Amino acid sequence: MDPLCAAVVRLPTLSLGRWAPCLQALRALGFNAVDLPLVWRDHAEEDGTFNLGRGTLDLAAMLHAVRAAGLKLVVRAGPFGLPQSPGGGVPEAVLRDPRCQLRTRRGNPCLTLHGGALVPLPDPASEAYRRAARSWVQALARRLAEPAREGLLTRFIVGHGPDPGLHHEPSEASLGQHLLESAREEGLPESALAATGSLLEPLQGGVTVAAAPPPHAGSTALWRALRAALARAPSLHLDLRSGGPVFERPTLPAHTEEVARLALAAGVRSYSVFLGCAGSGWVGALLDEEGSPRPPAARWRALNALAASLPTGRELCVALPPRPDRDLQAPFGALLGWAGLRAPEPGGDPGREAEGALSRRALPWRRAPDPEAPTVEALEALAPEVRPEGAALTRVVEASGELFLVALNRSEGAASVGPGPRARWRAGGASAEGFVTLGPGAVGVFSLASAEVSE
Amino acid sequence: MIAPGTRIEGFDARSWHRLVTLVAPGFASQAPHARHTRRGEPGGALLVFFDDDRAVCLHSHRGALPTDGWEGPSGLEAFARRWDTRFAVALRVGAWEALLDRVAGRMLPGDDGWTTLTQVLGAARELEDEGSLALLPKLGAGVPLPPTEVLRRAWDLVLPDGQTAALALFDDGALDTALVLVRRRGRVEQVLGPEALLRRTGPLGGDPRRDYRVIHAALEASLPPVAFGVYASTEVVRALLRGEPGDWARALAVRDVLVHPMPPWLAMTTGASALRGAAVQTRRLLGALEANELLGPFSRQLRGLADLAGALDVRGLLGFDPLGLLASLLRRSRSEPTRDDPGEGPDAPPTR
Repeated sequence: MDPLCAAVVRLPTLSLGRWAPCLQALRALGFNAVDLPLVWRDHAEEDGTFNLGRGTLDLAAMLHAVRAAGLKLVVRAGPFGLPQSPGGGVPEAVLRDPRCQLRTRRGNPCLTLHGGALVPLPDPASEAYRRAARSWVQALARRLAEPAREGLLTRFIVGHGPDPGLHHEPSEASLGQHLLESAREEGLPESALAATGSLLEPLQGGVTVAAAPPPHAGSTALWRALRAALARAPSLHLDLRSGGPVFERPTLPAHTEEVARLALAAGVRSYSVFLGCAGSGWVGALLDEEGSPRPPAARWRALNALAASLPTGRELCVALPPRPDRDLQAPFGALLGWAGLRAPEPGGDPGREAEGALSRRALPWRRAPDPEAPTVEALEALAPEVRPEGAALTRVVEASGELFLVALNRSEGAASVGPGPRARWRAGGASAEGFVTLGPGAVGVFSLASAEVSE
Repeated sequence: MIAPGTRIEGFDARSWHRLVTLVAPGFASQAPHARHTRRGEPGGALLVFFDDDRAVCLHSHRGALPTDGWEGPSGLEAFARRWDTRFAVALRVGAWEALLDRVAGRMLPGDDGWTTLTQVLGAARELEDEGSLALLPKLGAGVPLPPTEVLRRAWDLVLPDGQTAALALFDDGALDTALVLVRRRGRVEQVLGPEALLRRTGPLGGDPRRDYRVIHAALEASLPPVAFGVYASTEVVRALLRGEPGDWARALAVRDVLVHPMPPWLAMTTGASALRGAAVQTRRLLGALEANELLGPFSRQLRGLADLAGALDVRGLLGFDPLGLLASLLRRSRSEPTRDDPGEGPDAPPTR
């Protein structure tokens, strides 16, 4: 199955004349889908209805443009969390309604910094808020039922986006299920339904949409979090970035691309890239305001090609870290734990743990949750040798009856990868010692032969 | 002030990164694979959560740190010095919630950015006074916070409504980064970056001394009148932002930095800055002469003059000294901006 490679475009912020060239340019970059965030605040009318048919807010015109460009469609309904949208995308009347607000213990509204302004957080458990959000999601789902039946709509995403302050609330997950239920009632197919969540707590069933951690989290933490999330939720949809909102730490293109390469090597098959085309409070989109590709866009073409070239199939071994959350949140894991968001672990150093986990000794390969999976001993025989130790991140996947080793060089120098103790390369080209060299940042796919594993 | 509705155009990730790291080098982008190398580097920021009998200490480079030397918020400076860090925040457990609670209780719908900012700073100052919050460096300790109205007036003075401000920085014979602010209807309506600027000017020569006229003319032709424009090389501005009083005036005099048009507030600021620089030097000299008792009773009068000159600065005009504050922060920072994009990644995976 082809990977889902989507670029996020806020069509309503572009003039109508730019829609087609922009979508064509993204298709030329290897994207096979467009991810449309539809902002509740933009479409909401004062009388409680929704404008989905006028000017740049015309949903039918958007669908027509996507169809004409030969792309699939991903729709983000919110209702909260689009980073560059005022008020998180929630209408001002809803945000200011005391019945919809999350409250502190003293009864004040909980505020969050959103798009450079303090915004009252909506309460996912509030009946009034749920009712309002449900009406918006239902209105959209009703209009998208037909495109879903014809295969144009591949994802319909609800939820509060990547705001970590909300994802630890059980009521947030419950809101996601509540909104998905309303979309289901309007006839959207189950395969298209998705809800935002976090890598640490993917949804049980359904597609989880999670934001990739920022580059400074470190490659080890990123790899472990992604591998753990994919083991729990193989259909994970990851939000990657090109650039970022102005009120967040800026990132260089090479660093966000490294995150993307790492995610693909870890097995992500479905992703959206924020932001495909400039036009709102975001810097570093792939296309500029004129619709011309910026220099990093060409490298995304290579990344999209890499996504298509990587083998997919049964993961033979999953390296499940004992506590992925601690790595991902390092260095603030303990802080969050103390704040009551996560149980703290006494002692230890999350950063050092993550580094130590690179060695085969420190991170035993565990048996996949599959009764027919090979034994742990057999899997350990497959685990490759990496020189210098820890320079490359690896996994093994079985596709079309063949074994493939996927390796990512995460170091600044060259890394050598050799087959495990009882495995060997299937084809020639290896050095005399059986090691192959990967350049910095490179992803390698190697075909393995191992009679021991198939026993 | 920049608001969520402000239109931001013409920045790619690299030019935005250069602009931000000019004033905040600690926010430089970090490669995922470089995390382990950062652990040994000096600098970074320290975050301490504490209550009466325990503390949790986290460092932005080194992760969790032992807290055996922690002696409470009053000892934050010594604790930070021990970990080779000059930026630190200590928060009593529950202080963050209290901060947000106080701000939320005081905010009104429709409050502008300046009001929100002063309310947040005011609540933070209260927590600092109560011993629930400690910051390093101590920003404005003992100095009253400027009222919202002062900030708003200062902003009106710097960039009046219906006008444009421009900053263009050059490096290696090309436009390195740029920032154009357009203020309309009381808020910054547009923020333009180098791509948007080049679309208006066409190709530039790469020398600020020649290009400033082209940029000014292009901006005047398509945007509201330019209140002021600053044109220089990136390296010069980076050095000035960490410099001493008087450096800006010197840079303007030798045309290392071009300001066109020169607004009255900037002329006064740089003039006062030069005077203050001279005063600092005079006081140092007087100190040496006094120590040797060379000037006798005459020295007291000279010292009085030097002190007067030193007090004549932008603080008197704006209510606070933004450049001085920035310079004091940047001089403490050991972070250097990641100057260059590491370049292209591998294009195609090697496949066996």
